Amino acid sequence: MHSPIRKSKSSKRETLLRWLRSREQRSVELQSHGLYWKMLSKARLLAFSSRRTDFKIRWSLRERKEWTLARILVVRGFIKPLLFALISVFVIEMGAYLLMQNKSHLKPYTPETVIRVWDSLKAFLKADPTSYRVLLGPLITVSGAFLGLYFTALNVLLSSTYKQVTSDVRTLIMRDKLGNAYIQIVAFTGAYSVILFGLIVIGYMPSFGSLILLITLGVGEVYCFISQWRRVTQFFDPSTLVFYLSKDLTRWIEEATTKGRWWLDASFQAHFQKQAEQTLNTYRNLIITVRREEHLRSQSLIKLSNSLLTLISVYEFQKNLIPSQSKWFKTIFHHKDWLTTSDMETSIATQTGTALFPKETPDLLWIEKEIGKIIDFALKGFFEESDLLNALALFQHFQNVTKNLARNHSIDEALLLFRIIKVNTEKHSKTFNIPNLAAENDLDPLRFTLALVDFSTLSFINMLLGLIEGTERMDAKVFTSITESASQNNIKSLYKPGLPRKVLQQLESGKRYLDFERVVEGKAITPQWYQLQLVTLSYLRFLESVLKSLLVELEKVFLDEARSLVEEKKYLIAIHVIERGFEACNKFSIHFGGLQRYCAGLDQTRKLTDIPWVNFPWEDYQKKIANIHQELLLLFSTLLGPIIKLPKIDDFPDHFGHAYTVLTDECLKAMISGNEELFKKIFPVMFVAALEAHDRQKKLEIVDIETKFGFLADSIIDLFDLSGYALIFDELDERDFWSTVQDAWDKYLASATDRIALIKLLVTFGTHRQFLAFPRSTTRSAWQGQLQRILRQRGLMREDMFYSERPSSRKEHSSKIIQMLTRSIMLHEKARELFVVTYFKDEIQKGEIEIRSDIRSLYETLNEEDADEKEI
Amino acid sequence: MKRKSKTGLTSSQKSIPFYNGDDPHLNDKSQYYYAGEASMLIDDVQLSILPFPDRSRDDDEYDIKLTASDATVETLIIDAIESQYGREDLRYSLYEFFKQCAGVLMAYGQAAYEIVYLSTNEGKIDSVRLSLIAPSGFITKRVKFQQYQSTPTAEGSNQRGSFINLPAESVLLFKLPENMRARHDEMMQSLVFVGENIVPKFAIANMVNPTVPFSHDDYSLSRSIAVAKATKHIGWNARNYRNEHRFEHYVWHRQLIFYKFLCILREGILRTLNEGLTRIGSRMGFTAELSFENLPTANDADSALEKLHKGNLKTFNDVLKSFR
Repeated sequence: MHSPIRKSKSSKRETLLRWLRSREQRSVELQSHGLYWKMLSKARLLAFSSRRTDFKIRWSLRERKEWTLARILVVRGFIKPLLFALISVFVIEMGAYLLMQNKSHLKPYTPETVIRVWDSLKAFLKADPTSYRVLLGPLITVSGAFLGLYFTALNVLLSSTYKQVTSDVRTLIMRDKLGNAYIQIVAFTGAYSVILFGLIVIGYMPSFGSLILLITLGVGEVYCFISQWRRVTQFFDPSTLVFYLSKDLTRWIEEATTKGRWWLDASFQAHFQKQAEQTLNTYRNLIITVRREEHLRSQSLIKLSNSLLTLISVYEFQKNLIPSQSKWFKTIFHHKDWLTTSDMETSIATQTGTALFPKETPDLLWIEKEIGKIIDFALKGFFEESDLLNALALFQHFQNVTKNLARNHSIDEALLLFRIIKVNTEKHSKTFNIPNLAAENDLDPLRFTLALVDFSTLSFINMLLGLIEGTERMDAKVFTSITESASQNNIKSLYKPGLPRKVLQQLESGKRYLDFERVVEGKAITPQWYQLQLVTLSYLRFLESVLKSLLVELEKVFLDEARSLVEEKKYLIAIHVIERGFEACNKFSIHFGGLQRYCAGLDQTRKLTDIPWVNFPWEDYQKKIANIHQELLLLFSTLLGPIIKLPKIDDFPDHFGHAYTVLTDECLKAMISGNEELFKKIFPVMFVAALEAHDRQKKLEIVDIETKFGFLADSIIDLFDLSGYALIFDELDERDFWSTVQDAWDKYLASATDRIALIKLLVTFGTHRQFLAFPRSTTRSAWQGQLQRILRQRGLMREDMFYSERPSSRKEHSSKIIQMLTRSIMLHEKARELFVVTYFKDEIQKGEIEIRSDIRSLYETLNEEDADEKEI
Repeated sequence: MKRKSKTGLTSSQKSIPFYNGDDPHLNDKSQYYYAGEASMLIDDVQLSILPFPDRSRDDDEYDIKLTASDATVETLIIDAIESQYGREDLRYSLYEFFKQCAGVLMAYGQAAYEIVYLSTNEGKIDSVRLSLIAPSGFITKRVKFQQYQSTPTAEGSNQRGSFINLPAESVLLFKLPENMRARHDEMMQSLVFVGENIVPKFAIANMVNPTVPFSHDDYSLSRSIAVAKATKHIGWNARNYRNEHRFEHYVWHRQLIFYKFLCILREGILRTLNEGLTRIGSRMGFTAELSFENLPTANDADSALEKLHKGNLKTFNDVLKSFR
């Protein structure tokens, strides 16, 4: 019987032919032997050793270059004074020489005494070994003294400021190349002098060149000592060492990018990562040192934190030049699911009695996490010491950083850092004791706290704005050009700054797939249009995830935080957060609309419909934003009481005025959108706000009676108008806003001692004809314009009077009020007048209140129509 | 040599439907049927060379058209083909024939059938059979065909080989498409190797006691490349088991090439079969020709490939559906 499974019987000749014809076949067959892998490992080790040697040589050359630069800097410090000294010597020597040359000519004119002094000096100025010894002795002593002084200064530094620092921070001082170069020069001068001294002792006469050199070095020693001394004193502030750290970190980052020589070598990538991590550790240690020293806490801490923020901005641009699978990114291990892992892996694990090999994924945010921790530590330092001014400086810098990161499509990175800032701000807001708002109190801490809240929330809004700027760069042409360059054989062409990681990952896998095709087919098969679709899709997927994250954060940053602040009774801060929340909701709503149009443009690249595409739920997004806005508004309306109580201080925002403006606008918007629930909640609050505004205007010091009356009437006219719009929208859309209005008025008038007198007063204000343009009159005109637009859009406005040739498509509304309103192209009747003739109908009928003739005519028209209706 | 069949008819069969795989002289390719990817490829070609005749799908069902001078020719053809399930239908019979022929072609690179005439005692040809000549023993020498037959001896291990001459006019030789002939052996050997070495032998032991710095991912990628390279000219996707290194577009590009290969192979088999019918007809006094209707051709595959590359499609299915 034959075994059903027979092994290949290919002969050696056939195997050889197969190997010669196909490199890929040869490769797989060789790989099935253990020896191949052993040899490959040895070869890789050899290659790595050679690269490592290359790296070491290049690194040491770079170090040497820095040393040379440091020496040049030291020399430059004394070159000017030396030149001056040389010129002086030259002038004097030349003068003396010329004097000697023309001695005979000048003798008759020279006094006797001068000639005698000159002769004695000439005898003294002989160059002999003794004079040399006289010069060398002090030079050696001075060199030794300077060295001693320098090291003493360093010792003092290390034993005071750096007494309790970790060794890595102390090493940073030792890395001061300028100081080290100075030591070398001083040591060289001392050594040179000692050698000459020795030579003179044995009878050698040094040359004139040595003399010049020694004099030069001697002058240099003195001048450089002064600057070096100044430098050493600077080291008492450890933040001066940040220069070395940021330089190191930038260098390691650059080495890991496509600019580096070893960017594709996993061993080197891991080395660069370790070095960068070590540098960040030193950074943290340096910040710990600074935070511990009371006198350094403010300026040094802010200097260090700002340098970190600058570094992160630089890093985000470089990061796109690092491959996604680079060992520069720390590895995170994930446990695999036994039920979804391939049979091959589970069976090997079962046969060998081992666990499933964990899934390795690169941690793309490791640097941001580390920097975030350091910034968090620094921020806590500021808040612990109530150093709000410096915290504010950091926040100010931070809001630009988030925008830059978002512009670069690094939203996850920006969010990670923002959350650190947010948590610290929230903690501070909740623990901050709001002082009594009186001019005599120190309100600076409150001002700074409110500014911190502002900058923190602005940082978030900036993320959206940055993202929008980022998307503006990414038009269809950019995607085509990215795809084209990614199709090239050169791997570096994949990495371009400003692309989201998801797009980079798509380009990277695309490159692998094309390489597969090139190996198998000898050329790339997949056409550009298909790659373009996938690249665009990856960008849309990035946008989808980013928009989701931003919306989740929008709710947390504004709504959740405002609620929690209200619970903690930190009303003023809550009001600040809510006001920024309104701004954020507005920006989100508008820019999401823009993004919708942008994404619709990108959809054009979709050729194949069977590749799943991103379906953005734009309506849901807008609903979510509107909900957040509504919740914020409701919360805001509950805060009217505390807002009214806030005293008016000139350099504090006018929260009441803002609240009043928002509430009146939102009342109209609620009616337009038919949101009865919202109207029911905010109209009574707006009612109170309007009356409060009226009372506040009484305090205005305005001489002109007409102007003062106009300001007093403004808020009452608003109230009358909005009450009238409730009536109009009830009629227009069959809603129930009027009952809310009626309730509010009924309650208010019921509490009045003299009801009719109050009504008379209110009607006088509410129907006042303002002949001047007051701030609110423009707003009210806009309200009327909105109503007019709605009526026109619904085809209810009568336009045939003016455009008789236009075919009339006007619909007749069943409501008498709407019919009356839409009788002409313009609205002649004002909402406030409708309110007066409707709500105060009984008072008018009984003649208890007086109204203007035009209002009376409206009253009569409406009542006539009512009577007609009754008759019919 | 004439043999009498059970029905009393005399058969003209010269070949012997028997082979012994242990004989080293035989062109034994039986391992192709067992070794991973090689076996998968043979199965795929066998099963896809013609769609399975499905009566329930009459609307877009393909058809086989027989143009014959005599109405009895259809029965003659049905009887000539060995059928597994005894279905008396031209489509089923031809499906069986194409399946067998394509399988042998993929394994051996050629398939030879002997036209066996069954005659009555009066010498009148009663019927015909197309009998597959055991492919491991079939030899072609220019225009001469032979069958190698090894006979076991009484001693057991020693075998005696003999050659049976087969008349050229009774042998129908089916061949692979021109562009595949030279590459076929190499392709199958490659597939056998990768099929037998899914994981190298040392790798399992190495997991328990690691001594070799083996990378399964690298090896796996090399396997995928080797399979794709070996089957490049026929576009076989190895059942899409490992597609993580490819664009979907490339997968369907290859799939269309595979469909094109099947079309060419099918057309080639049909051409040779029609040649056989002509030969039989000349002896039996009829003319007949088979043709397919409603089946895609190599030209269709070419135009589908063009559409795929230019992007003149809404879904991949637009270009693939006519081949499925």
